[in-house]
Amino acid sequence: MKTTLLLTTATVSALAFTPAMAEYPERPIELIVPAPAGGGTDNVARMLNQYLEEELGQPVAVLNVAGGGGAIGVNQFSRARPDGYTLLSTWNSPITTVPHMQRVQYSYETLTPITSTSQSAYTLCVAPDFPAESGEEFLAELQANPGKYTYGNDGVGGTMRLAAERIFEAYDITARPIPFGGAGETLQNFLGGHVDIYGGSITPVLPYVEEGQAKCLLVTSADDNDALPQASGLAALGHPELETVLWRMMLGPEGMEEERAEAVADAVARAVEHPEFQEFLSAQGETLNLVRGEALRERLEQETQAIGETLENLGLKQQ
Amino acid sequence: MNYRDLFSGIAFLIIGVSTVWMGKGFFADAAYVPIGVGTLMGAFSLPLIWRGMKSVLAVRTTTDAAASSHMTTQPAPALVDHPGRFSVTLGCSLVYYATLPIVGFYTTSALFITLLAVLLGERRPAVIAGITLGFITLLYALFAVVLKRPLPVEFFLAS
Amino acid sequence: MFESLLNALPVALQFGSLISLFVGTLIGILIGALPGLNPVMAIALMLPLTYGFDPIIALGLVAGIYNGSMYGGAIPAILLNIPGTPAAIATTFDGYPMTRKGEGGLALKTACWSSAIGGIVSALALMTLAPMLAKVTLAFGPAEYFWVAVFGLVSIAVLVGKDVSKGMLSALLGVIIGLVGIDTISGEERFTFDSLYLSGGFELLIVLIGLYAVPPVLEMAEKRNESYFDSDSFRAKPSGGSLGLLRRHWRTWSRSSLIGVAVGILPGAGGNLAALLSYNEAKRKAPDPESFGSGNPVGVAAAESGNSADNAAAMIPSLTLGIPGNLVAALVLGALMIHGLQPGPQLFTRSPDVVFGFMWQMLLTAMLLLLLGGMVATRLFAQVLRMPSALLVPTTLVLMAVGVYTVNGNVTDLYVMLAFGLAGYLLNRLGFPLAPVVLGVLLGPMAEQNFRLTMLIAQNDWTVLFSRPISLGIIALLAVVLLSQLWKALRQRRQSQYQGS
Repeated sequence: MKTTLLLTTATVSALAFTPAMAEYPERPIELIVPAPAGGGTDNVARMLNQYLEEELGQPVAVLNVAGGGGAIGVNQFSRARPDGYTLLSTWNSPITTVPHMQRVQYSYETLTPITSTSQSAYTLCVAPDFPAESGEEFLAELQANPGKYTYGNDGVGGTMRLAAERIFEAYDITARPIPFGGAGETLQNFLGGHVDIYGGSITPVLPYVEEGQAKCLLVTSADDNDALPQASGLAALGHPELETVLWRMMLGPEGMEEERAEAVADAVARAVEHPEFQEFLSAQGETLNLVRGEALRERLEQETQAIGETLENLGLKQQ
Repeated sequence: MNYRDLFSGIAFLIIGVSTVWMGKGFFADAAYVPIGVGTLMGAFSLPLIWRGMKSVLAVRTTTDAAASSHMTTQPAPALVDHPGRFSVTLGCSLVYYATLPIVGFYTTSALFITLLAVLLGERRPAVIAGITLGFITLLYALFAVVLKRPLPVEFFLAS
Repeated sequence: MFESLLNALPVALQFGSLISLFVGTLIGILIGALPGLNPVMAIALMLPLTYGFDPIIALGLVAGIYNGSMYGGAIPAILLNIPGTPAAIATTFDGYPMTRKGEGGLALKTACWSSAIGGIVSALALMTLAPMLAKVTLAFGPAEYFWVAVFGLVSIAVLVGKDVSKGMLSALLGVIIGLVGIDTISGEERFTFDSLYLSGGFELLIVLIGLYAVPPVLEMAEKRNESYFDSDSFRAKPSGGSLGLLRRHWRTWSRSSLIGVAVGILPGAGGNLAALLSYNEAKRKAPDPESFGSGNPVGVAAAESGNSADNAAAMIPSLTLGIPGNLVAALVLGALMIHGLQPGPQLFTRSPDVVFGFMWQMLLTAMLLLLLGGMVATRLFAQVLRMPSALLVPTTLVLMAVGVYTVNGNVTDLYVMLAFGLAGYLLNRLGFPLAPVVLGVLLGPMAEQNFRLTMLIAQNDWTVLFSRPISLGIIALLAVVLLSQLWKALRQRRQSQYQGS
């Protein structure tokens, strides 16, 4: 079974390879986004896509395959022909976190790394009457009241929850995680007072910080964030090693031709140069971050292992 | 009718019981609803089984008694009206789904429409060809030209 | 606020905006009419084309596609029993029986008017009450969502029909189908039998197309030469024209529109819930509830005005709070951000022309439906049924295949659809109603998730379910519905006893 699969893959890629190597891509490309349309991942992917189409000279169709914390889409993607006409645009969690918790058909070792694109931090925010004004006070208040506060997050295997738990673990804090469907749902419940702490990406909560309806006291990156002056970065708290950020990348299926991966990575590198895209990224609170090929695989490997350890300590890891 | 209620009741009882059985293994609060739903399903299947059994028994006694007097019992509506065309449609669909990813969307669809139409008894070649071509062209215009939606690639185009 | 509303009218009426509304509505109707193609996909595809233009043009396109597709979904629902969008499921209940009786034309016209009315009411709510209704949105926490789901589930009591145990079994089967997949709260796999496909759960649209659309196609194939549809399907004209429709349905329309708006302001609840609740309510209030399901135009009117009234109302939480009520709203937020407009409370003060202009566009496109809906739908799509049924069967099957395939781009979904189709066919023949299955799939998981979230937040303190004012309000409403139903049943029994003696 496995050999036939390998053989067919080999023949298919051999067939794919012979006629027109130099002309890749010569027909439309399908880009799988393992998140629903309209979410953060989808918005960035589509925005980048516009410029990517120009650079590749072929239309790129986005296909949203949501569910399972991204695993559904990546599973489906991992079975695609590695001819370079099916690509994946994902954030880190489906690759580095989800495989620890669910059975999946892929790993960072099998998928072909192309390039990472951008990254951003998560933030923890509280209501204006919360008895803390800085990151340090915030953590102290949580420490003093184990199990009292609830924080909304993006689900069991979500990167947000993991980022928070890593910090809480280091500070010996017990807060109760409430898993919602995404940042929008978390924000709704936070603003309505149903949970005490907002945990999620920065953009949705930004207008409420300006209005004084929320104060964000912590970001999960090592550096402080310019958009949230009140929030402390982890370096300022003396724990830069606890950084957990959300970052985005493009990957190919197992066995994709290196030339084609290079071609896509080059196109992405040119696409992100567009000033409109950079403007869009900074409005989203994201920064550019291009790591290609084997270096990207190394980054994935390191993060997978680090997260595996954290999950094991938390008792969340499933075999 | 009677056997059907009996059998569908038993089928639901089995689904209900196995739902509870599997639900018991789930982690704490993930188990509440599966167990509850399974139990309810079992409970609601009982009246169905009871009713089915009662009428099966009733029919048996009446047919025994009426065997000589040629009394006919009400026949239940058939489960499948025309097994031939039913299975032809199903079979063609399965073959269609299986060939779709190999041969490509537009080719397979055109063949499928033609074949099934003939099997279902359409005998006018012009009508079949016209509608098939028109329909496929419409789909192609919409999905390939306007929406640029990738469908399974045609075998002669795959690289 | 009303000043800025008036100031924005000329913005919405400028040439570019009108063109994009027109094109959007037309595309929307077509997209909605093709099962599997949904407005989210269409908007996501069209938006990048508008990045270079004024935001109001992009939003006009969104408004058009959004409202258009809500009506478009009714077209295959009525003609072929295929819900073009999940929200059109309740439209099939009476729409398809009407087609088979030869009243397809009337059903389409009713659907068109109902969609337009629902859309107009919803847009008016968005224009006048948005900030106030946004506060209501925030008051709904997991406990309140739980009660909303329970309210919907209890209305099964109205949908089950005569045989209670069969109806309940259908509903429970639906809940079990909804439970399949990875549990979002514990991360545990439930009923997946170690299958990776099942770990993602069943896609709602695939279940619905399977259960509802496959059985009639199979029946059509079996009957082949005998006439499946009434021969003069589209000759029937509504008595008294549009005015007659208005006189006949205004009660249903106003009730369903209110329900649609109420459901719309709750993010995540969705048009399908709005349509089902409206349908139930119409059936409950009707003097002839037993005629529902066998081609009563009131059923179509209720379902279509309900789901369309959800549309603009779902924009309320996204525009005022920055919380997307559904995927289309999420795309609108994305489009605004790409144009440099930050969604959230400041949007109204910082770029009133865009926000209020968009609200006008939602209103205008709902009106456009009356013009385009009649033209496109009745003239074009209704011709489909003139095809010989030996050809209608395979073409419908291809249409369903392409629809289901485009949802996830996965061939396995096709087999799953067919399996649900066989199950639906069997349930039908065994006398199990299908509507409760849909309700179970839809509301079972919603009730479960929110119940467990409530318990997590309250640390298993059951009393929170009964201590908050909005929860109590919903419970009271629930009691009223149940008691009135009971009262009706008792009275009927007494009456039939009189007649019997």
